[in-house]
Amino acid sequence: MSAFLAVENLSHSYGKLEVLAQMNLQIEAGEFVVVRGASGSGKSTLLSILGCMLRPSAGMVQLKGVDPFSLSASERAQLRAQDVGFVFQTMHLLPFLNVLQNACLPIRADPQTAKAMLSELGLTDRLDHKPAQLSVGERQRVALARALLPQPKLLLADEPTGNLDDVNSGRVIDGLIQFQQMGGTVILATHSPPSALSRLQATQQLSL
Amino acid sequence: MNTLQLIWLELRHRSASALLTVIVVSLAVATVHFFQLTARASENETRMIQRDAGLNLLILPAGTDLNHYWAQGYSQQTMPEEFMLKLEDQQVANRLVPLLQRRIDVGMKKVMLTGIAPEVFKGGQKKKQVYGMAPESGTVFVGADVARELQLQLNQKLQLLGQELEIVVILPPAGTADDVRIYAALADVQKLLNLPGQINEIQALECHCEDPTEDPVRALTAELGPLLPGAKIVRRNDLADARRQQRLLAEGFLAIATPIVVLLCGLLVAALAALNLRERRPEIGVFHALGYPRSKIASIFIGRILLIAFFAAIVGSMLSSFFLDQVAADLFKLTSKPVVFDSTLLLQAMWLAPAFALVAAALPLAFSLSHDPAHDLQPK
Repeated sequence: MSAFLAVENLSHSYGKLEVLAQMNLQIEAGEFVVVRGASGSGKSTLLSILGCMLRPSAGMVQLKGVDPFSLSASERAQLRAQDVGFVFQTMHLLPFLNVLQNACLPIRADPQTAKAMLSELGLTDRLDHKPAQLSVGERQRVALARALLPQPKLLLADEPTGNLDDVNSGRVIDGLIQFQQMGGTVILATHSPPSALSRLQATQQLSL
Repeated sequence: MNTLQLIWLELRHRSASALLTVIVVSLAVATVHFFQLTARASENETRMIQRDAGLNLLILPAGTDLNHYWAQGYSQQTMPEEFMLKLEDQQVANRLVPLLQRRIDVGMKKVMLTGIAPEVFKGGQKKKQVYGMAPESGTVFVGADVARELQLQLNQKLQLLGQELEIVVILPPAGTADDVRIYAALADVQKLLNLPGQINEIQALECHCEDPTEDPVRALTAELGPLLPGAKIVRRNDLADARRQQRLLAEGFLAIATPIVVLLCGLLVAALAALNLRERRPEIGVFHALGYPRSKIASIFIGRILLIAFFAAIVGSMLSSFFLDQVAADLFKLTSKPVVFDSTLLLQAMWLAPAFALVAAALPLAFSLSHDPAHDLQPK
C-alpha cells in the first residue's frame, strides 16, 4: 500500500448493522474520487474513517503510508489539522462565530488569507454575519473556506451540495475542482445523479 | 482564535442560556448559603434561648443537707469564696455565679437575701454577662412580691439587718423565687451576715459534653470533685437534659440536612453543566475535525463552565446575604446581625460551585473526548 490513501479489507458495523464490508481502495494524490450511494449506504462512515474520525471495525487504512489509527489521539489530531479538510452536508459552522471567525477556526488559518478566500467565494460583505444570518448556500461556502484554508492535502466532502440549489451547488463544485487542480485530493460523497455533477471529471467512481 | 475568545463569544451568543444558567446556579448557591447561615443562626439562637432558661449546675458546700436546701432554698453551710478561683481552668462548667443566701425577716415578711457577684467565665473568656445581676455595693434589687407587700418604692432606703441600702431596681414579676428575693452585692451580704469571704452556693452552666454517650454527672464529679473537696455537685437534670437534647437534636439535624442540601444543589449545577455539554456535542466534533488537541477542546468547554459557576457563586452569595438581611431580624431576634454575611462561605462557594460543575462536566467531556469524534457529528 504505497498510494496516498489506501484501504484494505475495510469493514464497519454499527452494532449488528454492517455498513461497509471488505472494502479495498487505492487513491493517489491529486485524484478526484466520487463516492455514490443512497442515504444510509455508508458514504459518511467511509469519509469519517478516511478522515481519521472513526476507527473502523476491521481492516487497514493508510494515509501517506501511515495507519492513522495506530497513532495516539493527539498525533491523529495533528494529522487532521495538517492534512485533512472536511466539508459536511450540515456545514457544522459554530453559531456563535461570524463568517470570518468560522473560516479562521482551523489552527493554521490566517485571517488575511481567509478574507481573500471568502472574497473569492462571494462573501466579502458577509464577513461579520453569523451563520444564522446566511443563506444555506452562503453557509456551505463558509464551510468550504474553513476546510480549504489550512491547505490540506485531502478534502473530504460529505454531500456538500445536498441542500443547495443549482447555482450554489455549482460554486461549491467549482471550489472542489479548483482545490484538485492545485494538487489536492478530493473525495466527494453524494447521492446526486451523475448528470447533476456532469462537470466533474472524477478519476474514480465508487458505488456503495 | 484563543480559548478565552471562544468562551466569551459563545457566552455572548447564547447570553440568554448563560444568564439562565447563572441564575439557576446562583439560586443553588444562595439556597445552600441561606441554609447554612440560617442553620448556624438557628443553632446560636437555640443556644441563647437555652442559656436564658437558667443555670443548671449547683455547687454546694460540704455538709449541705439537701432536704434543707430544697425546702429553704439555701445551704446552711458555707465555703470559701476562693473556690471560684479554682474553677477558672476547668472545662465542664461555665458562667460561674457565686452566691451567699439566707432567709431573713424584713419588717413582717420573710425574704431570701441573696448576695451575688458578677459571673465568672472559665478560661478567662470574655462574654456578655447574663446571669450575674451584681448590684453595686450599697444598693439592692427587690423582687416584685417583696416590693408589693412591703410597699417599697424605687430609690427608697431599705433597712436590712441594721444597714441601710438603696432600692435601685424593682424586679418585674417572674413567677419564681426571685419574686420573694432581695439581691445585694455579695460583699455587702457577707458583711451583713458576718460571713466575710464566704459563699454558700455556686451556680453554673454545664458545658457541652463532646461525647453524647458520656454520663454528665460522672464527668462533672470527676473534674470538679478534686478541685472542691467535699463540695456537693448537683445537676438540675430537667434543665440540663433539655438543653443537651435540644442541642444534640439541632446538631444532628444539621449534620444530616446540610450535606443533603449541598448535594442537591450540587447535582443541579452538575445537571446544567452536563446538559450544556450534551447540547454542544457537534461543536466538539467540529473541533476534532479541525484537528484541535483534546486539551484545547476540554479547556474551551470546562472554561465556560468554570467561569459561569465562579460568577454564579459570587452572585448567589450576595443574593443569600441580601435576602437573609431582610428576614434575619424577624427570624433571629438574638443573633441576626453576626450571621448575615460570612466571607468564608463566599470563598467556599467560589471553589465549591466550580468544583461541582467541573466534576459534572468532566465525565461527559471525558467520554466525548475519548470516543471517535465522528459520533459527535452524527445527527441526533
